[in-house]
Amino acid sequence: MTREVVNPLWLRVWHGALALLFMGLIATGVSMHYAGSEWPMVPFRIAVMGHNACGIGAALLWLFFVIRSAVSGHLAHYVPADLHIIHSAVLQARYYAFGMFRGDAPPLSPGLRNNSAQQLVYAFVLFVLMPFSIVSGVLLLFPILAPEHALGRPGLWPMAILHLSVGYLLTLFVVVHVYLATTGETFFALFREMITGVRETSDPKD
Amino acid sequence: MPHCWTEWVILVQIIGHDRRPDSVWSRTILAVLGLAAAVIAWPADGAELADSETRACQHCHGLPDWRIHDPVSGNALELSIDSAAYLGSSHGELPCRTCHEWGYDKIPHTGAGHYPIYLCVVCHDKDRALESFHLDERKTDLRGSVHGATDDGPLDCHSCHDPHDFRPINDSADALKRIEQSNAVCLRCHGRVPRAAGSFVQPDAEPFHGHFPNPANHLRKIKCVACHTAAGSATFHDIKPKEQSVDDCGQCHTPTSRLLDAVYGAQRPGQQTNPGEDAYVIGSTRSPRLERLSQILFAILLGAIAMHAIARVIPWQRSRRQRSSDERGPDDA
Repeated sequence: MTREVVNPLWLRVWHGALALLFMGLIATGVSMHYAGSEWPMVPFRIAVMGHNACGIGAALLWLFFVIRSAVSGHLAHYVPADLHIIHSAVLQARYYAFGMFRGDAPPLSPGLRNNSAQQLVYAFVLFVLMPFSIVSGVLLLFPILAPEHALGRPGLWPMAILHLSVGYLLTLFVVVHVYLATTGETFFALFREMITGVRETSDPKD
Repeated sequence: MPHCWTEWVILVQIIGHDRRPDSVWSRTILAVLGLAAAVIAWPADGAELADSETRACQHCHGLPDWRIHDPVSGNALELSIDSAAYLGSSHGELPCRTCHEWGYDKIPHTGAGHYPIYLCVVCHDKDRALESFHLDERKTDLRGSVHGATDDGPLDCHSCHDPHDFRPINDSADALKRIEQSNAVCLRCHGRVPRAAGSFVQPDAEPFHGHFPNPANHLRKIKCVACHTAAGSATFHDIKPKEQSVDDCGQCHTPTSRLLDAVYGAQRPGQQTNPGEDAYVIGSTRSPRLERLSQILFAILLGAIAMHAIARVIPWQRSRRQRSSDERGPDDA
């Protein structure tokens, strides 16, 4: 069994806090968007306050992550540097789709914290979806900053649609992210890795 | 300082009025001076008022910021009429005496022939052009509302809708403009800088809405009457006490929001508007295409995850069964 520290403490704390805030954002966001539904929802007034608080927290955490990981060099794990990244990501996807059922070895290059598919998706989430979500969220929080009209409609309309669309995509990401976290060597291996920071890999002879 | 002889006459009248002249002589002198002013009056600059009598009225009432203290009611009386605004209003073609029928022959006016309350309804009764506005219902709603019994008595139509600057309802496609025009009526008295003169001026409405998230934005984008009238109100004139106003976010932030009709809906019966294109209200406005797309995406994703999970579980169960049968050995089979 090989043991390797892959997740520093600050990253684990950041990840845990962001996960909690994401759960809060999804619960309050759904409650606001589907207000009046027959399903049990967070009361609207509380949902608004909760969503604002979680959103501000998530935006600050994102800012912290970008600065901290840029300073520490950790950002390299999230910036696809491989010129054949698409090809590598396809290989990884094929592994998830078929290879893992045949007992194939995961196509993870040695020394890399994230595989190619993860790199692509994480980069998209961190540097495209999150900024869009934060900017549109700030404009919804402070509507006075939003343009009076945009795309031929009142300015908040496109902002709200953008925020909602990005919210859907981030929720899809969270669902897939949590599911794929169960595809480690054991069901909880990757969850344990994110909590302890240590990656345990079975030696081939084991 | 008065600029012309006529204005001096008016000044004398005002002073005389405030001193409550009670002798026949003083009344006569004031009447003569007033009539003289009317006789020598010439048309106001640029104004094309309906008749000479109206022009005479305008010569005095066209003075800006003419306000006197009414000794009878104790209120300040706004006596200035903006001729340009009046001419551009719905009533611009009417001579003053159409409404100010009696008690206006003498100067100063006695007020004895003050127009009756709810005069709008009296004049426009059975007016087919205004049938859709149901003025009778508005009158009934107004009388039953908080405005029907104030410290200064019942409010009249004219307390809110200035008959000298009455304009057709705003049919602007821009919801914000419609809301602004509607709220301007309320803010004449309830605004930070009340524009209406009189003792019924109420405190600034804004501090009372601090419980809203983004209160300034809510006040700018919601008609006051949307929350301060009964649910399903047809006329929006039955203003409720503040304790009975809408205080539940859920009444507006739902697909069946009362906001959509009250705020963004048609301004007049039969008019077609699409509230969904006018504004975004959280919990109320939904884009059917985006909703459908998101549902399809989530359905595909959850289906794929379910299939993937089943595909993982089946071989795992097979291998577990195989392991347990291997452990039991061939003799146990």
